Amino acid sequence: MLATIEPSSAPVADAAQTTSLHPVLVAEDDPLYRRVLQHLLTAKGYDVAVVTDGEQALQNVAVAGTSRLLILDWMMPGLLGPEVCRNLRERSSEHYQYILLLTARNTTEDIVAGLEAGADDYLVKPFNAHELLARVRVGERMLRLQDHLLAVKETLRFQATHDPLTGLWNRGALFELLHAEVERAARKGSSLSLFLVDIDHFKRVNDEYGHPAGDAVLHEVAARLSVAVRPYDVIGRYGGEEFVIAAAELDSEAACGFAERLRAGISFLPISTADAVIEVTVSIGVTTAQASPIWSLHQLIQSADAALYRAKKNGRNRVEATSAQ
Amino acid sequence: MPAVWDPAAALERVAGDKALLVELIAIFFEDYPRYHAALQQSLEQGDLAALQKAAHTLKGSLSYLGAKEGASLALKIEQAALESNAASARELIPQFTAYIDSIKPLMMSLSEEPDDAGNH
Repeated sequence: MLATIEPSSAPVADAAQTTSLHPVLVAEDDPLYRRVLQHLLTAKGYDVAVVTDGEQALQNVAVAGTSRLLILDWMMPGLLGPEVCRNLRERSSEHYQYILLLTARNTTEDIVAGLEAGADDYLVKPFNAHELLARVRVGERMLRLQDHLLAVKETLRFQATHDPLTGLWNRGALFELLHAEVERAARKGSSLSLFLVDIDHFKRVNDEYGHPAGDAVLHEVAARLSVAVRPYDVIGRYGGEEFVIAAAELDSEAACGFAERLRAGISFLPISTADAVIEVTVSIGVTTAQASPIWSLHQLIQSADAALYRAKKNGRNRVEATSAQ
Repeated sequence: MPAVWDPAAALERVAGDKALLVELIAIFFEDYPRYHAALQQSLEQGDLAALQKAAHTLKGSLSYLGAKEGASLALKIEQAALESNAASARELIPQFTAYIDSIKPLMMSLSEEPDDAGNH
């Protein structure tokens, strides 16, 4: 779940989706109605795709997946409109399809059957142009509402799992991911390296240059660490000026080399903030747990912490490793 | 049966877009021979499901175009097919064909009428 979220920038409510109309898919076998629908909808600015039977409608939704506003004729060769509705509703999709069913039948029984099959609305043929467009606008409104809710949900999900300052995983999400990494390493019988990265004398940065400069330093250190790690490594903000990285399948030597590159990536170039150009270094404690015996996350952190303590004690801007074998 | 067609209802349906209605009429008569053949053929072959399908489509198109009598004849053919009443269908099809033939010139001449024709 968490692992599927890209730890990039926060998604913003999609402006493009709220200002342009949703494309419409029309499935209708009668050429006359096809033309009517295409003409009326295109004139109102809708992007219209037209197919002539139910199978094509399903295929269009499954393959292209762009149309979420569907106008389906009830009576089509092959799959009937209500069957297409049922089929679409059986598929689970986060993006809801709004379905308007066209029918020549206007008995209560038929209308109920159409709605029960999954249609959102129905229109009896021969329909009036104004009524058709009004009903399509209802669908458009529902889809916009859904888009908005999804965007909000995505934003909240991002905010709930990311550190607002650095954009990295926050402590809560980080621990969930670290637990998953430990479990995966145990399952696959592979090694797991844990890196604790701490900015040296960070308090001095805040004291000397102010908190905005301190924030800029945190942001830049996070950015440099992010580009140095592999896409599948876990990186998060542990708290304060401390970061955690978990990387699988490195031996102790490779892990130390990796940590050394992380350290050099910070110290090689001073960080330019709006207030000053600041020399920043980090100390790194690294622990590599081999496949056996299996270590708990708690043990790994303690071990890396001990290494970090040694790196600080031995002069900072350096890497220390503790073996966890 | 007198050829009766009320373009006002059809024009209202397309929100007064006469050009569209003219185009739809052209589409209908372009496709009509195919549907007409389907009516005859499916009846001869005793394929009542195909007969019902063709009649259903004709009914839908004609009702959209405001050709009420044509639509109701097509509906009767559709129902006859549903009830497996081939004899009734055999009687209705010529009536239907005659109606379409009589109304075609009227419908096809819509484009020549002044723009406010039937739209009052």
